[in-house]
Formats: sequence, structure tokens, C-alpha cells
Amino acid sequence: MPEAIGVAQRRLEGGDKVSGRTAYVADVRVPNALHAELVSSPYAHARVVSIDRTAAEAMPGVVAVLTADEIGSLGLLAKGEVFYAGQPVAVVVADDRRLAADAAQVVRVRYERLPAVVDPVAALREDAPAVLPAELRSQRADAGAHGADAAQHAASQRANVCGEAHFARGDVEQGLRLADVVVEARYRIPALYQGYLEPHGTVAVPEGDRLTVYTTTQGQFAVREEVCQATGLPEHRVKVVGMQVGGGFGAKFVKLEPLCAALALRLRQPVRLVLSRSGDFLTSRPGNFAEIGVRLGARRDGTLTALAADLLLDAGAQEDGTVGIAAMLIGSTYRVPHLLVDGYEVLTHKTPSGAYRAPGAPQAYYALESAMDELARKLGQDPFELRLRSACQQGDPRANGAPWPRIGLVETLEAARNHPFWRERSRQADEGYGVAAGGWPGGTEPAAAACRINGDGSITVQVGSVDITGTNTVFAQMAAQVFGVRADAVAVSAADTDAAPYSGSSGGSKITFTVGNAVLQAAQDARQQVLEMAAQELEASASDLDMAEGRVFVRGAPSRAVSVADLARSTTAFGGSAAPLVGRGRVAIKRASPGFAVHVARVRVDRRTGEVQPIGYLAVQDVGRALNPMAVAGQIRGGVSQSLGRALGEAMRWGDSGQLLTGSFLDYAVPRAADVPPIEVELVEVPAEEGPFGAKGVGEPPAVPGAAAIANAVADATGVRVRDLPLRPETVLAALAGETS
Amino acid sequence: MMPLRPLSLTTPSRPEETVAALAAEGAAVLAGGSDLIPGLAWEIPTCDTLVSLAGLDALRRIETEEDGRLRIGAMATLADIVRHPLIRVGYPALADAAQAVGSPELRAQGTLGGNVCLGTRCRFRNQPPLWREALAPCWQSGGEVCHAAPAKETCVAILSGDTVPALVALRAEAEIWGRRPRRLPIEEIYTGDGTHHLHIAPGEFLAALRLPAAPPRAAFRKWRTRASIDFPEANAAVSAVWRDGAWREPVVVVSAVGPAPIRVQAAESLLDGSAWSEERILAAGDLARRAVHPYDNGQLNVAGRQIAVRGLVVRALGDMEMERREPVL
Repeated sequence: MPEAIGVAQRRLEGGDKVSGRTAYVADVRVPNALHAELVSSPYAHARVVSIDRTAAEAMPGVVAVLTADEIGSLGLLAKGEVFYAGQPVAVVVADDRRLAADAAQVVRVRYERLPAVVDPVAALREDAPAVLPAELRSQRADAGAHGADAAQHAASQRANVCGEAHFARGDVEQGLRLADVVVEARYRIPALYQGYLEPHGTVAVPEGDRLTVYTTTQGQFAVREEVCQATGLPEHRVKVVGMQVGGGFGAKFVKLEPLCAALALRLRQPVRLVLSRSGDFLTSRPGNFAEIGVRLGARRDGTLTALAADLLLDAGAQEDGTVGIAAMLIGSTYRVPHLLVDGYEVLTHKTPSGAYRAPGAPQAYYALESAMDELARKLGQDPFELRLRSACQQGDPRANGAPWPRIGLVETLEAARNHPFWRERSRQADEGYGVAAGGWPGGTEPAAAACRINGDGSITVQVGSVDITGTNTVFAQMAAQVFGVRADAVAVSAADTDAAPYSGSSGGSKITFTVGNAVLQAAQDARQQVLEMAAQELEASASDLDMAEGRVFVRGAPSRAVSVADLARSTTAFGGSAAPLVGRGRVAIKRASPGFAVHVARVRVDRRTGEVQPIGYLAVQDVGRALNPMAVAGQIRGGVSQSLGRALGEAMRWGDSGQLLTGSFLDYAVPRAADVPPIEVELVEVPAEEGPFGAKGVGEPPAVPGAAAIANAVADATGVRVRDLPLRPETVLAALAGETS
Repeated sequence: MMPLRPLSLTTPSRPEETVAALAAEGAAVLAGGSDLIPGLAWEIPTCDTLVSLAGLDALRRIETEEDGRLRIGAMATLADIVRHPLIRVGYPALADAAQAVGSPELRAQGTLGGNVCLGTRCRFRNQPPLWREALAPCWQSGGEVCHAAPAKETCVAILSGDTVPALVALRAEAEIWGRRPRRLPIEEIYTGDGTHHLHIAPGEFLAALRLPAAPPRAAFRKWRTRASIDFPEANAAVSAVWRDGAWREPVVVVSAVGPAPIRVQAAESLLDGSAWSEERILAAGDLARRAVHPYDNGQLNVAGRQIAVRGLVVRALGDMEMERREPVL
């Protein structure tokens, strides 16, 4: 019987993608489509005094110029006041794209510029002006402040604090006094653009009393929900077609869809809105800037005595919720008797932040793992020894006191330590190695799937999840494993929201874990239906039957057999005698499967130019079970590459007045092939109790430890610690100059 | 990419037609277009008519002239430069500089002439139109202020062609065609003003670069964030002739720190007439660092660019001295 699980399997959609045949949303052509173009504010904070549309409306072919006054904000349009540079204030709709762009340029908007709060540290101050008016703030649950001490309570009352998280255990000051060695440092990690190749785009098509929305999203059901909220349509009258996604990394949930839908309904004509790259940068939802202060104490033998961390995350001009994850992870990775974590998230007049692959985790682990490295150096200890002494295992308390389920942090650290990349390390002049760990708590969401046996015995799996990482390929492997066939005998239909069973959005490293379980259940259900049909045919008990390569046979008497195709034919024939074979899977898994990764980077630093060249890399990760090792390794390599960008080049930067300084791929330095060293991947398999075949989410952990691994390697190579990312040559040169002066 | 505004394109096949077309108001030279076309989409610069040099076959050729000089047509692509055997062997610093430009796609499209004449760049200027709306117009856009250097009376945008310092170090000569064709040392085509950074008049265009028959040894270095694609935040080239047991006639040139390349004459004097010890190389690097005054208009900061200039010159001089001691065959 062919094994389908654990076998390297090329991605089902890969050939189309690499050969340019895949249709993305910008390729959707519908007759009579109008083109929308956004009119955006050049200022970070301003009152909109007036909007003169007469010149634009007079241009032949311009259909409408609309503002929030007519169609509402729809999550995007400013109403009377703009809160970030690039925020749209109006939208022009015309029958040609070039025309829409020209018309957008002649919409005359008068602004009264207002002072912009750009620096998150300044935004946190007691006397900082409020970034958003009260009506745009949610009524924040005061849970964090209840039971907190007076200082915390005072901070949470500040004008721009929009989120907070506090965890405490023991007496951290006492713990620091017990320490022989204390590391105290502040780390900064910039806001980061997700850097997907395909900009945001949506096409909305009104059809009778229904609306169809083609879009690039990681979650088509989330889009449907928000479009329905925005337009008042019930969910059964909106069909969302999730197209192939040209990269999402957390940025593609819901953005243009409510606006595009509202325009299409109002104008009763299809409307297409596809952003330019610079428009995408300006309205992107970058990963949060974070400034994290750490005080970490240990006994001379490396036993941790105390960890105090204060976190400040920048939410931009909209409330966000990332600080909770960051604060939780920083206090949950190592056993430490005395713990104090205080996290705040503040509003500023900048592009609203959002999710970027493991939101909050790379920030938290950059600080934690840099501090651990500084501690190891101070103690003169091996970086693995120090970590293994305190690494959390099943049952150890997380920051909030809840025990960890089974996790593979220790196993992953040990695998990295024993790998030849580390064991046989050799260091030339100006080279260094850096070690860092990192993790992600995983996610859950209810999901359903169907598995149909077609009339010829072939298998079709139906899901509603958007495939951004090869999940459809894994679903095919799962069904193939259940039926004992090869993966290419299974088709996976990722249908639109009309046709597909519910699935959550593809984020949080949860699709294989949740939808995969539904697929597995559906395939097993369908298999049981086939076995029961065969039992009648073969006059045997279903429990005595087995199935492989398209045949059902009596266990121990393989000549007593019937083909699945013969059975299936009678379920689809005129006058046929058996009900169609349809397996059903429904799951609501309640416990996530946390995943940990350990990375080791090797770099070379040119002391004269400050250039850091990664020359080798090891990524070790606990994946529970590698269902498709090829896809898992690909995801890990992608995560490492993003970490290299985070460590060495990428940063969303704003000028003093709140203007984005890095609004194109010329200025925003995503790594290219020449910047990425060979990456060795080692998989650790500590099975997840509830994961299909033991699998756990693998998408997010590989993006977590890399920045600290690189920074630690630079410190190893140069003896100089740089705490502000990215480690661009200017920063490294300055640090080296400071050392010599 | 924003959609490009409609404009007209002409591709003359005779030099006189090219000269006439370029003399017209609103005309601009189109070579490879890899920088110009994306710039036009952002309206940096603006023009009505593109005059393509692609119809002039002679401009694509790389050939040795009768006196032994190497003549490289302005329309030779950077990829042509990188792989041409005469350049790889005789003028490797130029091949290195061409290799440092952009990416394989850009080198296949971009030309040597285009790189030499590349529009100057500035963080306050090379931005989408919406971004620029928030700022008062600068020298380049009809205003009277420089956002990078408010005290300056002229534009300080950055000359960003990587081949420029290599060509200066190799003592290249520029051949300008127009009503009156002329030849001049390449460094003399730069005005030092970022707005009109070339001494090339309307109706003129760069047709070729000519390299000496017996070039000095040379080395090129570039500083930037990534190992490919980025424009230089600083670059440098050095050259000299090894004769009678000493380096002679050294050239030290630094670029991408202002609108024109900068010769570091103090360093050249220091390096003339001896072998290069480590101390001498480091001292030359310090002189180079003191000779440049970058403004805050790149992506990397002023202090970094200044320190990097020292590092680039030290590395380039080190490359030459090391190769002299242990020649790479």
C-alpha cells in the first residue's frame, strides 16, 4: 500500500504558479467593469476642509467621485480627519484605469494640517495629545487594569494606550537581587511590510440581488462576514471567491473588499480596485514596531532567577491586539521563579499595524533571545547549555500560570546542539555563530470538509480554506493515505463561500491542524461508506475488509475483492441502487499545538564596511509530524529568508512628520537570492495530541528566531552588540566605530 | 506600477536625425530605459518625446580602435560589459562595476551610456507623486529649497551610476555626439549640480566611452544594504600603474556621495611613488573619508556613508596591493 503521508509531494498548484498560468485577482476580467482609484492624503494628520470634485466629475468617462460622507468609511476612507499619510479620503470610479488615475489627481482636497504623533515613545507620555478621537476608540475592556497596581492603572488611562498585557509571578526585584549576573538591555525592532509579490486587489460584481467578490485574501469567510456587515446583505447573498494568493503573510484578510462591494452595489456595475505597489505600502498593515526592555538575572551556574520585560508596541492609527501574544511568549519560554511582564500598545499617526507571520513573536523573541545570548556571554556559558537548563516543557507554567501542553522546545534545542552545523563549527576571522529559539502558540477554529467518491472511484475533497502554503496538497495526501492510493488520485476543490464548507482564515498556523482534521474525518467517513457497500457485495463484515489501490478486499483473502470504481458506479447511475458516497468532517478543536524552532546562523562581518554576510544557516523545528517534508522545508526556508530581511535590511521608516520614507521596493530592502545563504533544515517530530497524524502548525515558527540568531552571530563575530534592528551596514559601522573610539 | 502617461517615441536610424529630435523642447534620450521608464511613471522626470538610441547600430558595438583604445558604444548593455572578454581581461574593474548594478534583468536591459548619464537620486525626490505633494517643491521640481541640505543653493542629489568611478579610475574619455561632436575626460561631463548634472546640451548625447590602450590596474568597490539590486550609497574606484618597484599615477575616486564623482587628490599624492603598506592604505582611506560630505538624502545615514567611504577605498587599495603581491592568474 503506497504511503502518502510523510512523503515529499510537489505542490498541486506549483507548476501553474512557476510557469505563469495562475490567474490572480488582477487577472479577473468581467464585462463592463469600472476601475476605482483612491485619492489619498499626503499628510499624516489633518482635517479635511473641503473636497472639490468638479474637475474630476467633468472628465468624460468618470462615473463617480465618492467620499465617506456618501458611502461611509468602510474601514478605509477618512471621514473629516485623516490619521495617517496615505489614508484614502475619496475614491474615483471611471470606465478606464488610466482615466481613473488622472481624475484622482484633479480631485482638490484642502487640508488643515494638524500635529502628528509619530514616535510611539512620545505617544505613550502622559501629556501626549490623543491620536484618535473617542468615537473611533473601542470601549476597552479594563481586564488588564483590574487588580493591577496603581502605576499600571495610571498608564492604561493614558490617551493613546490601546492595548496592554501584564503578567507577574513572585517578586522580580527580589529575584534580581538573588542573581549573580544581570543583563539589562533595550531592543528595538522596526515595523515591517509583509513584502508579498501581489498587491491587494478586489473585483466586486453585482448580479441581481446577489454580489460576487473576487479577491486576494487568506480568509474568504472573513471577507464575506465583513462585506455583509458593511453592505447589509445577508451572508447567503454574497459569494466570495478567494483567488490564488500571491503572498499574504498575515496582510491579506480584509482590506479593499467592503469598499469595492459598496461601490459595485451603489453603481450597479462591476468595480475593480487593484492597488499600485506604492498604494499598497501606504495602506499596508505592517508588523508592529516594538521596543522591549529586558532585565534578566541568573546564578553563576546559569539558573535563571528573574525576568522583567517591558514592551511597547506601535499600533499605528488603529487599535490592534498584538501586545498580548508578545507579552505572553516572552514570559513563557524559560522557567523563571520571578517574572514581571508589562506590555503596552500605543496609537500613533502612522499606517495601522496588522499581522505579519507570527505577529508579536519575532519581536518578543528578538529581545528574549538576544538577552539570553548576552547572559550566556557574561556567564561564559554555552548558549545551548544555558537555554536547556531552563527551557519549558509540558506542565511548566506559562506567563499566565496555565501549564504548557506537550511541546518540543527541549527536543528542538537538543537536535540543534547535536547537528554537525553546530558541533563541527569552525570560525575564521570576523566570522561568528548565533543561536536563538522561538515559538508560536498555534491557533484553532472550527472547520468542516467533505470527501466525495466520484462515479469512477476517484476522490474529491472539498474545503473552504485558502491555500497559501501547500495545504491543499497535504489534504490530498491525507485522503490518499486513508484510501491507500497515491496523492495524485485525489483532487482537492478549494471552492468559494457558496460551495465550500466553513473554514477559518489561513493564519495562526492552523489550517493543516484544523481543516486537516476535518478532511481526515471526512475521508474516513467516506471510506467507511465504501467498506459498508463492499461488505454487502462481498458478503463479509465491514470490519474484515481493507482497501488499497482502488480495491476493497477481505483481509487474508485478497482474491475476494471488488473495485471502488465498480461500487461507486452504482451510486451515480440512472436507476442505481446505492446512495452517493459523501464523507463529512466537522471539527472544533479546542487546544492549539504550539511549535518551537531553533536557528543557528553563521555570518561574516566586514569591519571596514559594516557589511554582514550570512554564510550558513541551520533551522531546526518541531513540526509534530512532517506530512509533506518538501513543503515543510520550503516553509522553513521562506521563514528564514524573511528573518534575514528583518535582521539585516527591512524597516518601515517614517519621517518626523509621519511620511513613509520606505514606500517602494527600492527603499524597503527585502532580501534577494544573493543575500540568502544555503539553509540546512532539520525536522523534529514531537507529535501533537490532536493534530492529524500528529502534525502541528509549521507556518509561523520559522519566521520567529532568525533575527536574534543573526544579531547573536554578529555579536559573536565582532564582540559588539547591536540592539536596534535592522543591522544594516550603517548601524554595524557605527557600533564598531563606537567600540574603537 | 502606476500607469504611464501617453508619450511619443521616435527611433532615428541616423545620428543627424537623433540630434535634431533631441534638440526639440520636451525631448529626452531613451537608452535601455530601465531607470527612465519607472521614473516617468512617478513623473521623475517628465518629458513629451522619447528619442531612442536603439536605431543607431554603431552605438551597440564594443571594438578596439586602430590606436589600441577600446571603444564601447553607449548602447552596449551592462551585461555585454560584464561578459566581454576584452573588458574582463583588460579592464576588470569596469566589469566588476557593471556587475554591481541592479539585477540580471536590469543589466540585460540597462546600458553603459545610461548608467553614466543616470539621473541623480534623492530620498526626497525619488518618491511617488503623493509623497512629494506633502513637501514644498525642491530645486529639481521648480522650487528653491533642498530638503536634504536646506543651506545649499543647488541640488545635492546623488550620482548613482556604479560604472562612473570605475571609468574615471580607468581614465575613460566620453564621446559626445551633436552638431559638433567632442571628446572629453569622463569626469568633466558632470556639473556638480544635481538638477542638471551633465554637461550635455539639448541636441547632444553620449555616444561612446573610450578606454586607454594600456590601462592602469584598477579596483572597484560598492556599498549598499543588499548584495544586489540596490543603488550605491557610496562607491569607489582606485587605479595606478606599477612601474620600477612602485605605484605611479594613482587615481582615487569616490562617488554616490554627491552629484559628481570626487577625486581624492590628497590620497593620490600619498599613494604615488611607493608600494602600499597597510599604514599608507589606511591613511589614504582617512583622506578619502575627509574629502566627502554626503547629505542625508540616501537610504543609509550620513555618518555611515562617510565611514564607508574610508572602508571602500581601503578595500579597493588592498585588492590592488594584494593582487600585485599574489597575482590571480
